[in-house]
Amino acid sequence: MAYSYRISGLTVACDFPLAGAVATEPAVTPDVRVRLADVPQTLEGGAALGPNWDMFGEDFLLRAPRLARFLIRGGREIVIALEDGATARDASAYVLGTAFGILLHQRGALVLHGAAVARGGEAIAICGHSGAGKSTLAAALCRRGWALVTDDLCALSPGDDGRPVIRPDGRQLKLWQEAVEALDLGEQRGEAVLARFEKYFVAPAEVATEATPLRAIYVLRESRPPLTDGIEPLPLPDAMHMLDREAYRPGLRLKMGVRPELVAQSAGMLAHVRMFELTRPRDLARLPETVEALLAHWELAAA
Amino acid sequence: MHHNDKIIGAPVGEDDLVMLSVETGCYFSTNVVGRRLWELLETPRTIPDLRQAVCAEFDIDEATCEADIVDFVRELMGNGLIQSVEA
Amino acid sequence: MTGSAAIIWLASFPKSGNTWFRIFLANLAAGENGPADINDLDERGGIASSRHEFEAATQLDSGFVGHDDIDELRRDVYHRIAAEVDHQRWIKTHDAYVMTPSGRPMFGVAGTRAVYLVRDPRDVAVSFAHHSSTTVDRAIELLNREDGALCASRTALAPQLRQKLLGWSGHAASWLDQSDLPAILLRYEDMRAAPEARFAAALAFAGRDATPDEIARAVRHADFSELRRQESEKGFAERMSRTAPFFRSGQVGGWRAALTAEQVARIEEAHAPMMRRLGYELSAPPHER
Repeated sequence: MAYSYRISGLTVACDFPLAGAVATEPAVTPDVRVRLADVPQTLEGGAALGPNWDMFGEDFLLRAPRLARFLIRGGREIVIALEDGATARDASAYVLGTAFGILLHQRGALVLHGAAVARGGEAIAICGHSGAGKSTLAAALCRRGWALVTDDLCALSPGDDGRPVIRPDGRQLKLWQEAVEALDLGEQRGEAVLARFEKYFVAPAEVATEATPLRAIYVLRESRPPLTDGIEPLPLPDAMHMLDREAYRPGLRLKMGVRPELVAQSAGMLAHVRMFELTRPRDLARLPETVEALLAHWELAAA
Repeated sequence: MHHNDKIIGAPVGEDDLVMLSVETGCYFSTNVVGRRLWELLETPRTIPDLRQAVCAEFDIDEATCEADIVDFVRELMGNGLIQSVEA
Repeated sequence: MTGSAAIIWLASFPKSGNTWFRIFLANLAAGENGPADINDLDERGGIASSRHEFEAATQLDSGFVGHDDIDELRRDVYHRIAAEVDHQRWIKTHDAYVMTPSGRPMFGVAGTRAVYLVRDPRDVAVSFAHHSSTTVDRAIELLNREDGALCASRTALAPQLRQKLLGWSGHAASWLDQSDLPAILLRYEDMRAAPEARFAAALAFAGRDATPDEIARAVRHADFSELRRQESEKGFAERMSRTAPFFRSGQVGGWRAALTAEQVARIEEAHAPMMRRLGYELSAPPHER
């Protein structure tokens, strides 16, 4: 029996239920298949490019310690071999995160490491390194009536009119316990994303189901001296650099090679999307100030 | 001079251009005139070639135009984005 | 990379001169163009516990890898960096010299050496409390806890990976008693007293060439008055709290005025053997208390 999902615009058929993903009607020929089967420890003939991953041609092998090995093939398939004691449910978090991120890279998509939320049919993406507070800020905006588009894997593709669109990753928010408490979301808190970790699924009030045009990207920065709070536009070269840096697993995009089409892709996107640096305190107690500043900035840009 | 294969240029919208130096990983950007110069430099050109082409297309006087082109070319060369070729 | 070491671990308990050392290195690199901007430090080698660098190297979502499993992988990441770098990298770390769960030394990979900086724990307590806007008593707790660690939360994702400190004595012992890597010990107090000579010794140990003039200039540019001038003009991004200046005084023995007798006693009781070993005089022999 297969479970069906729609993730970042792709139809997915999976051997087992993917925790945290919203089930959809099955597709006749799914774009991506996810299945449990044996996977080798290393790739035959492959270059061991990372301490725990190999790449060879269209194959990418990732070893997640004490969890599973993931073989990601040609942007079409994810094969998973569970390590002793791990469950398929545990592997879900990786399928929907790193594994799908690599698969989207293989398909040549521009993937940002960021959360996206939408209002009035337009989306903003919130980017930043792990631990920067992307999901927390997205959750705070969802509390203010925005719809969740993606949690941390933000795949961009050209829409009908050339403007880039974000396709929903079909997932719930994932928040650490500290953020759940700070945002008073205890009642919406669901299961743990992965056993042993204090990170939980949180059902947002509203979820975008359609591809949503992206209007702006905000890159999160902590306001430590000499940086002060504020929202500043990024000049073009900086924005290009940021798109590389804020890509989902930027090292991977580089290891896959600097290709002219990737530069053209980023440049094409910046013709339609403005990019800003959002500098704010990390302190959760001051999150409301950041939300107000962002909402004001959005209103001003819309006017 | 002309631009070399260690540089990738890509248009942004109608007017702007970004360039990536593959060797240093640095990005540069320029406006509509710079973008036109860049296109012209696909094939080797001299400064007078460039001045003539740009003055024909944009509303600039020749002296300003040549000075700006020299600045632009100097900057591109300084960053290894273009190189001179034997005449 | 052959010849000199590929990676120099610039290891210390927090607030022991690590940042001063990195600013010296930045100024050495800047040469005549110095003084180097103190806010450019990030680009110059980085910190071993960077979450972002770990993710870029492993492709993993570090939030879904346990702290101990991360330590296991960190060794593999460092092994790879040491094998691949084409120029010597100085990497800051506050981690103790720990073993991974499988019993391998996390930092003990071929081609690396360690410069270990140590500072009087009584001054560390004062400086840490000030830097982190916490109380001296909390700082002493971190010095005294043998299982102490930074960024060890399980309910939130810290910007850096978990760093085991093992207390002040445990930290020093872990680096000084290991026999995997060549290591040199620098006392912060000696560096303050004779910076040129001590920095020169560290550079010679690392196999990094520099003339006495270059070293003297870098020391001048990394001087505390220069750092404070820059910080008051622009601030310094590495500082943790929003009010406390990072470059407080850089003084030696400031604890005498800042700690109570009871606080001094708590530190000295916990660390007397290591303090004696490293030449830090106790304020009173234990039997007289």
